[in-house]
Amino acid sequence: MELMFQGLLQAMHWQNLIAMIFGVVVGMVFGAIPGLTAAAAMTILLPLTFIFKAEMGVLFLLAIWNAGVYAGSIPAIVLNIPGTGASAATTLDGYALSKKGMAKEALRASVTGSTIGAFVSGLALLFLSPPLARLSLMFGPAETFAFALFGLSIIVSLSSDSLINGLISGFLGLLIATVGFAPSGALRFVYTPELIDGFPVIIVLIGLFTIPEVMDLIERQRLTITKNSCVDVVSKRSNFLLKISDWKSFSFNFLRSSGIGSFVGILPGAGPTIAGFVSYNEARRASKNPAAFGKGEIDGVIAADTANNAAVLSSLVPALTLGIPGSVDAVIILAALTMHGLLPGPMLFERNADLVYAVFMGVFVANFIMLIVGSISARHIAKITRVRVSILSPIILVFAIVGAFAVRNNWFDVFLAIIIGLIGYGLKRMNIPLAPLVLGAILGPILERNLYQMVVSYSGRINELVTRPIFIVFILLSILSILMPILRSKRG
Amino acid sequence: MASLSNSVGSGIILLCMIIALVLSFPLKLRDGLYPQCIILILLLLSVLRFVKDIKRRRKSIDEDKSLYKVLAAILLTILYVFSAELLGFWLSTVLFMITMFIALKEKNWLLIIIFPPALVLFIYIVFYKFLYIPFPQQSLF
Repeated sequence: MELMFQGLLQAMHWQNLIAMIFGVVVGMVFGAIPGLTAAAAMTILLPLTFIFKAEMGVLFLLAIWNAGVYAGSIPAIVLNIPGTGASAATTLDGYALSKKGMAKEALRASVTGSTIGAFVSGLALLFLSPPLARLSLMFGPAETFAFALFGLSIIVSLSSDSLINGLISGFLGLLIATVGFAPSGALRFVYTPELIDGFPVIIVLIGLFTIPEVMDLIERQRLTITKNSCVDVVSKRSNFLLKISDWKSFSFNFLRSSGIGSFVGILPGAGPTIAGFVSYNEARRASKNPAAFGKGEIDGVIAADTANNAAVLSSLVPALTLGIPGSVDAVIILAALTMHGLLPGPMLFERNADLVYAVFMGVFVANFIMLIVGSISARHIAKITRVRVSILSPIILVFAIVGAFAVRNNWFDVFLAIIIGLIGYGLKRMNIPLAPLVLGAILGPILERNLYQMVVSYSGRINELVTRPIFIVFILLSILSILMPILRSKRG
Repeated sequence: MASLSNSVGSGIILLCMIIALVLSFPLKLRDGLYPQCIILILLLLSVLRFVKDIKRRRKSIDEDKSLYKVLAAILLTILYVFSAELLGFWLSTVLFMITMFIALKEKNWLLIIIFPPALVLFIYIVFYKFLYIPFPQQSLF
């Protein structure tokens, strides 16, 4: 309790508050622009957090992430185009509500649901992480290997319609991760001194999450507003907070969707997009009038937006406790921690409890800021979708290059980011998803190191692995997650 | 067209994996086995993808009109990085933004002229002077 209070005080420091306000605004702008994601904003600004204190940097990035996922719903509601993938389920009812002239009501439900979802998952992060961190101390190399494999296999199977494309991406990421030192200490595939420690994670992230997105924007000209846009409907000043009378009818939906979102978020590889759809389906199933869903039902918007934001913070649980990120955005948070010399995993809770609790309590403050900023500025943010691609693209490219240079102050990194970005764009054009590649590149060293230790420790008695239930469960789940898409396609 | 570029892409992955496999030969078994397994799996997957793409190949469907803009953006970005090494970050950023605006057919000339120096000034004040972010320093600017 004392740690929580101390953490809250630390999170409320004026510098942290400014960082979170700035983060919320940046996140909302990036989230609201279709084609750009919170991950892109976090990646571009990640190198800048190097000059911040660790908790300030992490809170800044978390504020961007949370606000980005929320703001993705704004174009989903007014344009029928989700700002980020996480808001895909919001379009189902959000746009239908806008067409009925109820865009304000939908936006009001969206900001309230996002805040509640993030609040509940903040509680999950606060109360589930410490016991899970203690539990994770029981993890040996076999369990860590199996868990990391499970996270990667889930994202491989869920990120693309084609399992082959997902697998190519995941294995490419694993291959990238072999550059640098092998677990034995020998150097592999190192032809320039800049790559002696492998590919810098931040450069890989900048390359994969800014350049392909910008090129994609230029190619598709996706910001062009259609005639059916409902941006003008929300242009007048109005109260964007939910009315007290609405609480009674929606309170159960808020709670159920928060629970679903928090649970899905904890699963590695799943994330806000899946949480949104699962919760939407559950809300429809539980509704007295399921036929109204898809035709402009406010419960549909609440279910999708509450769950996708709930999945944001809870996805940090495996990342912080085991050091194994379950999503690309969590990778960025881990990269920020590593940049400050902090090692995610169970020891983080022992050695840096003050920082951990400052972050845990800070997410509630960031959430409150998001509610205020979101309520005041949703109508202005809706207009951001009118920014032209020709203006936006050069700005993002300049910031990406500034970010790439700032990591190690050298031009090699800038060229590397551009090359990785162009490769990423090529893969994207081939319908190969980039998320498994990033996860593979991050999880690669963890997988290989633990596999190496496992082989060494169980050499000659490999059958003993069968007696380790956690290992067996995660290996079976990994196989199942790869087999499921194959079985599904055979059936359907 | 899309299918053709897909099979070309699969072919490129295939070629890269063969090169990676050759490069991994000098490694000791202990260090090379893991990457070699990954490369072999990738070889298999890219062959599968290649075959699938060839089977699906149809006649040209769409001629992408925006592709030249993407190529221009890629070329300008590479030129920008080279010019930043030579001319310095600030001047080359202004030039990059102006040329990008023109390449992407931005019609507002006032914006083309005013926005790039304004953005550079913003980056200079906020990131360089206030946040102390290191920027490339060259002989000119």
